[in-house]
Amino acid sequence: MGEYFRLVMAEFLKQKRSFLWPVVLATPLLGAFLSFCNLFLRYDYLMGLEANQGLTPWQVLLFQHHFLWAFLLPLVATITASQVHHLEYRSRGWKQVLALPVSRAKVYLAKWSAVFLLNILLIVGNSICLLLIGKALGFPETLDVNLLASYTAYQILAITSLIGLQCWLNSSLSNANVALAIGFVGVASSLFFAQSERLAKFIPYAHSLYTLPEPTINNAIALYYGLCCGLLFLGLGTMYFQWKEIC
Amino acid sequence: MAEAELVIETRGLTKVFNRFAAVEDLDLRVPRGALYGFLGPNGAGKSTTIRMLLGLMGPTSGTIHLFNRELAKHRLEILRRVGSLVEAPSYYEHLTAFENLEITRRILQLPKGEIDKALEIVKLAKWKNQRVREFSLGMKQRLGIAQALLGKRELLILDEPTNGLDPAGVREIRELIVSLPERMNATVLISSHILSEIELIADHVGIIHQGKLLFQGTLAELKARGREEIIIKANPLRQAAEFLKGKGYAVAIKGDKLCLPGKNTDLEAVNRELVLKGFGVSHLSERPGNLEDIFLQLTGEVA
Repeated sequence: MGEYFRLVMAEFLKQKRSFLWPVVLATPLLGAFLSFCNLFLRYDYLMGLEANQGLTPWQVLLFQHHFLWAFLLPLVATITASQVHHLEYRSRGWKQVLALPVSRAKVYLAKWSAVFLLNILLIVGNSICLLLIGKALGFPETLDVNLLASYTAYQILAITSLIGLQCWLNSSLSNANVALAIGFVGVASSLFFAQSERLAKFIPYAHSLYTLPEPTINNAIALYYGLCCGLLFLGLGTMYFQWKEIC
Repeated sequence: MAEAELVIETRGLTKVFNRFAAVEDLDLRVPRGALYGFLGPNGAGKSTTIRMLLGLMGPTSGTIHLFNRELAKHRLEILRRVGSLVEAPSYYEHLTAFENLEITRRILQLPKGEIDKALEIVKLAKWKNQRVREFSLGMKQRLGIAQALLGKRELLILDEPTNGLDPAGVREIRELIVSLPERMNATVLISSHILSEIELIADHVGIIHQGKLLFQGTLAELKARGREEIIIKANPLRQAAEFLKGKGYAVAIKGDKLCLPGKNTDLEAVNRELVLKGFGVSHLSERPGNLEDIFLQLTGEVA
């Protein structure tokens, strides 16, 4: 375990002064700013809509925010996975790292973990921003902690599959930009995949669309398929990386 | 070389890419403490061999033993003792020299002082807090060597460390590499396609061409292959010449000296036979051949 933690720490050291930190920290702020403007300008209109009858302001905020965040999250996850791997391709770092006395599986897991931790930071940052928007807008109801906690947890589980797939793609394709392009196309088309629940189960890019804790949305897709696909891709990626030839 | 302890030993090492044999049946033998020059033209298979030695690529067939242990079975244990610089050094250019080495230091769990020591050896201590993107190519190569030195490695594998450097940079790196075996008590394998470089650095040489090892031995043995002439002053001259002719040597008298063909003549044996027969030997020298010609002959690139 010591070696694994050292590798994870090394991944974060590599990201020092990288543009990834501003992206991870600014994306929730950007999303929150847009949602704040939306609710600040249209609060009465949104609360008065028939579709929102019986919903608390917190729920309305979450539902409105989700339209934006369900795309921002997988996009940023795709960027983080590509950037963490791109650094090795750009600096020809694979050969240097893998010529060290370290297990290949742990090197791969450390990369995956770094991407996962950055995305947890992103998701938690988003949840904190939502909380601050509610406070800033002075919602009369007390915060629905369960709602926000469920939303946060579902996103973390749902994004596992996308991270697993993107890390695998990034490690197997010698150009991280190709994996980035695949990710962007996947995210852009995720809404189409999400039209069919059967199809969406197996498309990691669509899993984040199913994270809204709402009775009409099948959260099982985000929860179970997100986690299962995530573990499957992590396993496949690790196996592939064990035998990857560094040219 | 057979008796010396081998740090690197490959047997029948072969790597095939889509039916193209990049390395074929390679039996590399690097003795402990050697400065081994791995010489070959571009595309000869040097980098592929080095990648296999470091476990970055698996061989199609054959075995690799480092420190008498099989790499395939003891990779982690072996790599703890090996420092490497593979082709162009790899750095995170947005980080400083110190931060780049810190990544390796943390992974290897080395004491903090190791970085300063390594930077001191490669004369980069003054620039340790400068970002690598601001470094010249020579400084980057030196940093690559510092990275290879971290952790007191017993074997250093340096792939074309002088590539792309100006003459002053080449000289700087050469002096650094030559000092390493004594300074670090390490064996060094250095690959290059520049013959003159290897001649100035190495004491052992392996010549690879089209994936095959054409020569392996000491630099003196390589030079002996291309030796043009052996010159001997013996007394009495004519009798000595007759004696050697009788022993099957092609001898010619030139002035007051005997001249023997350099190729395939054992200098020590000739001397021994003359002395044992009672001839006075007052001068013994060789006219070395051009190493470039030897290399070109070996690689079949001579007209």
